[in-house]
Amino acid sequence: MKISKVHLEGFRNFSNSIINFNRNTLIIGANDVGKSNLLHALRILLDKSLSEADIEPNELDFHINSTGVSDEVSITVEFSEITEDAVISVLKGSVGEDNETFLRYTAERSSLSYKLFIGPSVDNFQEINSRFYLKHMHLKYIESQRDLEKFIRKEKRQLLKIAQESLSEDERQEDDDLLGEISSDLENLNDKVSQLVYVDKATNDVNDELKKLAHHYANYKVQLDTGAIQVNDFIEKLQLGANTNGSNVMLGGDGRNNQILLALWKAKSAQEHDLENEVIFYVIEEPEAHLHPHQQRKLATYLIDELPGQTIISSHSPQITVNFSPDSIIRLVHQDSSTVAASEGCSSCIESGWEDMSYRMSILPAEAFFSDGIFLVEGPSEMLFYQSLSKALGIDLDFENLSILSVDGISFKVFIAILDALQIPWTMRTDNDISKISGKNEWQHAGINRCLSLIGEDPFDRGYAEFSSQDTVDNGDWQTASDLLNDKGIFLSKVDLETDLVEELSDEVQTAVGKSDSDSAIKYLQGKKALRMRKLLKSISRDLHKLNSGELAKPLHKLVEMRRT
Amino acid sequence: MTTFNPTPQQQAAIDCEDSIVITACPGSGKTTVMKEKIRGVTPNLPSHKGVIAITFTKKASGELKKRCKENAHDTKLSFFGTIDSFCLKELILPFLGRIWDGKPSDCKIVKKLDSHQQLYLSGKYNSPTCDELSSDAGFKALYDAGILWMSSFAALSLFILSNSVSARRYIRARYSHVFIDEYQDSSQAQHELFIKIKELGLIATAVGDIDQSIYQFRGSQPEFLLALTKDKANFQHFELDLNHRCHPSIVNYASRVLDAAYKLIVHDDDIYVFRRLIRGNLKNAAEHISPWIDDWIEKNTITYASDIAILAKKEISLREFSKGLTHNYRLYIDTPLNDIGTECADVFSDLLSYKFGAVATAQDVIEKYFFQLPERNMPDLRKQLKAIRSETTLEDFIDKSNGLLELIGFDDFEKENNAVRLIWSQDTLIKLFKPIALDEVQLMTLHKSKGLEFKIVFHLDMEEWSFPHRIPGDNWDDVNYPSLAEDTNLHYVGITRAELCCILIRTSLRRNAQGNYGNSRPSYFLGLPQLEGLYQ
Repeated sequence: MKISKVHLEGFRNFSNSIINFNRNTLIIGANDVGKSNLLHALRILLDKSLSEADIEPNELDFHINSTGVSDEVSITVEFSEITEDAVISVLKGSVGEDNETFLRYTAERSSLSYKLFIGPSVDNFQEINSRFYLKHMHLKYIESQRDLEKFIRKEKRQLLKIAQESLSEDERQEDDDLLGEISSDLENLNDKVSQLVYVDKATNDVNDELKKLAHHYANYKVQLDTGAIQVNDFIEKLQLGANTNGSNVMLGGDGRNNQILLALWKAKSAQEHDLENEVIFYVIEEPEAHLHPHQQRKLATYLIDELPGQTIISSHSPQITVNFSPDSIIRLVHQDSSTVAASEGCSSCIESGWEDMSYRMSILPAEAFFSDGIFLVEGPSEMLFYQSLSKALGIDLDFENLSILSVDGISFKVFIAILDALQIPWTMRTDNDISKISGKNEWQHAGINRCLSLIGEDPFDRGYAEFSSQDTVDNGDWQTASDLLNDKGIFLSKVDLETDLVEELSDEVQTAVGKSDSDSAIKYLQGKKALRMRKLLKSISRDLHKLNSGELAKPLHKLVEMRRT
Repeated sequence: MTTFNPTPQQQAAIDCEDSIVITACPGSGKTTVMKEKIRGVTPNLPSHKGVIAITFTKKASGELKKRCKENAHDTKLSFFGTIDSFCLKELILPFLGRIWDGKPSDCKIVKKLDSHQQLYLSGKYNSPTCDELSSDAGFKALYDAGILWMSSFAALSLFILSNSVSARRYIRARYSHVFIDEYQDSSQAQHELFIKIKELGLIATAVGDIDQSIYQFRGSQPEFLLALTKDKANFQHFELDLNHRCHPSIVNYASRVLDAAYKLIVHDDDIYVFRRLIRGNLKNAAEHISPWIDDWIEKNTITYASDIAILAKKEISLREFSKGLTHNYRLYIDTPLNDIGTECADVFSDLLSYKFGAVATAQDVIEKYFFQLPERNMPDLRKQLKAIRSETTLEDFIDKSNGLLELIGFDDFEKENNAVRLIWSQDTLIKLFKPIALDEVQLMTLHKSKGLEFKIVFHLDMEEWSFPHRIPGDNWDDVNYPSLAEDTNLHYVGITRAELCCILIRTSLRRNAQGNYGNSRPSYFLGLPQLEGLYQ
């Protein structure tokens, strides 16, 4: 059984959003976009630790938009692939023929009251008294503010209890015997302590005075003793400690504590999860807190692989994000004055391209998923160049939450598909290369056609005589193509980066590389691309601002414009 | 509580883990065996599962449920009820809407089709089978018109199971076993439903006694129980043929009524089956018998008068008899509400029972009828019920009850209100809603005595034309007993209700169909040769 879709209306950040979930799902989005609120919507319907009083609506739950406050909240959760007996049994006629069921919570602002519904389809709801299904289907939640000590204090008893219940007969007998021994040891201890001379003497004065006070104190003595400490008192005082190479050490820093807490939580949850009789969904906020990047990745796979139920994680970590294929990522974005999920959440539209791409995923900086705009470029020299250029033009990439990505090859198409699905704005610049078709005497506008196919336009006709990039600039083809493409954020080099740069800043570049004419300067830069580009950029950093209104700067300006709308 | 020491016969049936059919004679402890099996199965079930335990009457299910839950035994999500109740709650209400659209919970449930509703159907059915339901579009038409006919529940349920994947999945997910008692009274639709549930994978147990099949006039057929015993591949057959209740002489007499060649049980002591011819009519008979009852109670032969039963084929015999009875008695007859037969009337009956004490708690009433209402209405509901209980005037009682009935969804209860007025005016009728008093002799028809037991039984109607039912033939010598098989079983049931002693009463005067008294002749049952020597 899994949560497959959530529909939020009028709830907190969400005016009207449909969000699709996959089996293991990651939720990402800027701070305050509403990740926790989405998870809270699930908790209202499914979290046992929220009481009936806790799920009563208050003023702040109703969505506020430009026209006013919403009068109603509606949270609908769709569950699919229900195969577990326990759930089928408890839900009876609410499970549809396709193994689906729907839960709905509605609240009214006028009365601050709520209602609960269940049904086999969205047009067939029946009101219910209470979340009666929680016994057999519910979620376990762990929030981002985690306090290991507090957790231990609360859960220690539970952990011990669970462990006790899972003992075998022999083990139980062994423990009972040992407990007996400990009890008698404690008695001995009590005795001995009370025999300590100074302990005994401590109360002498008091007793002398008492005898003076009243006759019936003649045979009466007060004394200090251990208060007959029992075994349970010792168990109560057990602390969680750590052990390295046989020596006891302090627990750990924040990161280690985070890991310990999550491991404990997972162990306890897995132990308590009676797979036969209940369905549990796991919801974890920001598991990556305080952890080193590799550890973050490991933690995410650990949670996904080890938790025996659908796992939903919210995160700010690129390391964790790379573990999820794009069809399992929900990206929440602001739209108008409300929050929506890009492409309505997990979308399978990218799935087919994904398989081809998966090996590149590790190369793709996962920070891309967290950006508000991406500029896709061909390779490392472009990356270097544009990073310097944006600084020179006064575009603060971090402030704007923009990233420059090198696709390092030609598969712009798949990157774009992912970015479109995640509704992340992008611009790109690719080389205007010309290639010969093998085995024939034909040449094609490779670069131009690559771009045209991205916007669904027909490719340019082939030439039967060889031609160059410069030819396309001269005969107007380059301009024709650019006119079609630039508005969509796609930019073509006239020839390539080095040539275009030398063209726009010829004097300064020639001086910097010590060449007397354009051609040799271009050849020089193309000789050792990234290396020489870096050196060049250092030298001409003060001149880069002159490129502000040129062709090279256009994609950057376009991206900033797209991001701001 | 006495500890239960099962006989080897009983233990074998209890221990068997597969599907079984138990044929059990009266007093053989079959209900106990069923209870023990249920108690044996339920501990191993996860908390979301249970067993289906079906009995013939609501009273019997209540009994079985109570006994299964004794000592805080957890029966988990088990269902205890009649087959119609099971069909309605577990299949029709949740799943019929899937197949026929609409909302089953909005439908009105009727016990009998009135003439207008009858017109929807193209045939006259006693208890329709699933095939009949599929081929007569009138059933769906009835449903679309908002009517659900109780007699069609079993067929509807089978129809639902055959057509809805989620219904099948649900039954399999929730229930591990199905138990049905009184299987000899199953109709074809109910039998087919039982088989279908077994085919879903549940372990099935059917319990019955062919010799106690007394509802053939309602469409029940003992052949189905017989068919199960012959289906060796699917059901193991266990026989419980030791009658622990009745004195051996009673067992002998009763068994010989059924089977002339029955091998008698040997016993040392006296015979406790008596035949008596009493001068006069039934009222006189009661006058004659009353001192015997007083005497027994005084001498402590019998502790409570309620241990004595007067059984007859016809209710009218009991009424006449009661006129001469000096002792306190309770006459179990159909009340005017029973005669109406609607669900509304049933609820009203239970409200009366709650008022006068036969139903002890408000919770019982709520669980039966108000289980579909939201939790928040419960406290208000309880208050209303308690108010009804304390109402002493008839009209106020009716008013408040009407309020409650409206809550469940009834809107037309003039007929039922009148029935209540009638009942209120007659002590004998009110008594039926009071808790059982130990000093009341029990008067009931043979049908109603099924499943019960008493220390002493008086069996009336032992006159020709009274019992067995006889209709006139072409001439004097043409003897026609149209329901002899069923009447024989009824006679058998009546005699085997007695633990200590059974007294068969023939009155010298008999009232005929026109209401006139004439001399009576002995019943056919008194003339059976194989019974000679078995009575005093």
